[in-house]
Amino acid sequence: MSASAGPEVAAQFSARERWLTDERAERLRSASARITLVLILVALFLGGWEFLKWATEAPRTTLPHFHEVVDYLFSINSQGDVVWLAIGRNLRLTFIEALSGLSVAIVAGFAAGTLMALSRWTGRGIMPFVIGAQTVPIVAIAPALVIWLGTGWETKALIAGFLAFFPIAVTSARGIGDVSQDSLDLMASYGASRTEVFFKLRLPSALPYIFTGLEVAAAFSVIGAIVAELPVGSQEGIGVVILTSQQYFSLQPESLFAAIGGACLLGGAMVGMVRIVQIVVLRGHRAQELS
Amino acid sequence: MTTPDTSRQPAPSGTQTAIAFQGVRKEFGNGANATLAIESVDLDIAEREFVSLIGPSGCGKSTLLRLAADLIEPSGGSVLVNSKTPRQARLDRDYGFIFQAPTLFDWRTVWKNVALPLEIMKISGMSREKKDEEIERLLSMVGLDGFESHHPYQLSGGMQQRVSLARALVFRPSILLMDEPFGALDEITRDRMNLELHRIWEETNTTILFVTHSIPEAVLLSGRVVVMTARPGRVQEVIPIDLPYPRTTEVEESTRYYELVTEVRESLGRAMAGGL
Repeated sequence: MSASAGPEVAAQFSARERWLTDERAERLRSASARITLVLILVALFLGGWEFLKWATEAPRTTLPHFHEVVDYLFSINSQGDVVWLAIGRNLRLTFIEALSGLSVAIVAGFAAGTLMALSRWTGRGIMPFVIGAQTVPIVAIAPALVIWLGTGWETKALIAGFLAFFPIAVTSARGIGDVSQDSLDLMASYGASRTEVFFKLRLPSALPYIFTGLEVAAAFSVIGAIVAELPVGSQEGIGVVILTSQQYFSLQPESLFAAIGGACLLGGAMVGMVRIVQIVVLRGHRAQELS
Repeated sequence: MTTPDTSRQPAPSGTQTAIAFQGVRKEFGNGANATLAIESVDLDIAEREFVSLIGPSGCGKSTLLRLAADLIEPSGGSVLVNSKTPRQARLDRDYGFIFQAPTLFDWRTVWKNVALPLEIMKISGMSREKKDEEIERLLSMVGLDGFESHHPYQLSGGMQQRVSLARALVFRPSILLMDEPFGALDEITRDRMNLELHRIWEETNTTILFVTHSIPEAVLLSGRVVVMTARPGRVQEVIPIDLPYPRTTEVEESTRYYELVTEVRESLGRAMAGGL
């Protein structure tokens, strides 16, 4: 904290360097701790599954062994396909639907959020629609949308986007509006324009909020895509697999568990993608736990 | 209790007036709920002068500063900054404002925080190299060489306020408006920052209007100390500080320094009594 004394500053600088090295070691430690934790949770999950089966004496037709589900994945289904490949094909379609929906929701949600934060009148006009969109039960309108727009992937993407829109709109509005008066005064003292205030202050300070919303939206988009696939008429997608598996549950219970596992994987992958983008975009932002 | 003679202090003769408050009044809110923050303040601050505003909370010292910065507008009277309206002075980037909180952007490095005003102002005829040079010079002036690529949250409070100081000086404004800049710092850091600010003031030839709660700080740094009364805010007394320059730790130990601290304290006491 010395000003004029050069050597003192240099000493502090090297202390900073040491601190950074410590941080690297700390990150390694926390990474290995996280992997251990995941392994423990997987073990607990499998143990819980098998314990439940043992304790309730459930037959295979109610709850199969976990290894039976795994065996099923590598078996050949009635169409002559390897099961996990067939599930993967369906997941791919659902993924495309969810991702398209999420992309549309990002654009629309961010635009709506910005309007809500910056424009009092337009913002107030939009608000009821945003809240309305959130309260409409998606399961109820999905069949109607399918009838109106057909069973193509675009309909499902739209429903996925509909669900993902809300978290993005709300976090964008919050982040863009939540800027300290001092920061605004500072920008004003430089004679900054509204555009400059937006791009140099509001947007960067809103990004951590928006990414929190994006994570939720990513998970919602997968749920939306799956729900959109459930109405009769859809031919493909993990939602269809879940529905069919449900109908044949007593004959082939492993099928449903495999489909559910696939859906979880997809949701996890979507959220993971958002996290990776977040890490790249928010380099240099203060880690949120520090604030 | 305020005689017109003490409240109206002309600037030392032979110099230009940097900031002029004339019959300035400021009300917050309107109608029956309006509170009078400042009532008829007359004050001239000369170029290159260092003036402190001191007074009980609610005396409107920050309000005066914000009026000069065009962050708020007066309800009556006039404010002139470099003989222009505050708005024009703001758009001409005549002043740098320093807040009590460092108000740094967390997502920017120290370097990029200091570069912020230059990015916005797009000063014509200033090359990239020239800007880089200027940022480097300022960071070194406030003793932050080697911290260019750090982020604000990696720095102590004192260091953050240094960054804020460098950022305010980087576009070479002729006036610095400082709103309790060191109020949140510990005593030791604060003393150090005071002496440094004084050195920077001497080096850069800026006019400084400095709001503070601290009597010793005001006496040590200022050419004149303006004591204000609360509710509504008025100028109680302007006390000239006839201490030798440069203001160093030795000055802080002189008898005259203690006398002046006492004088300001007594004036402040009268201001508080009047305000009650």
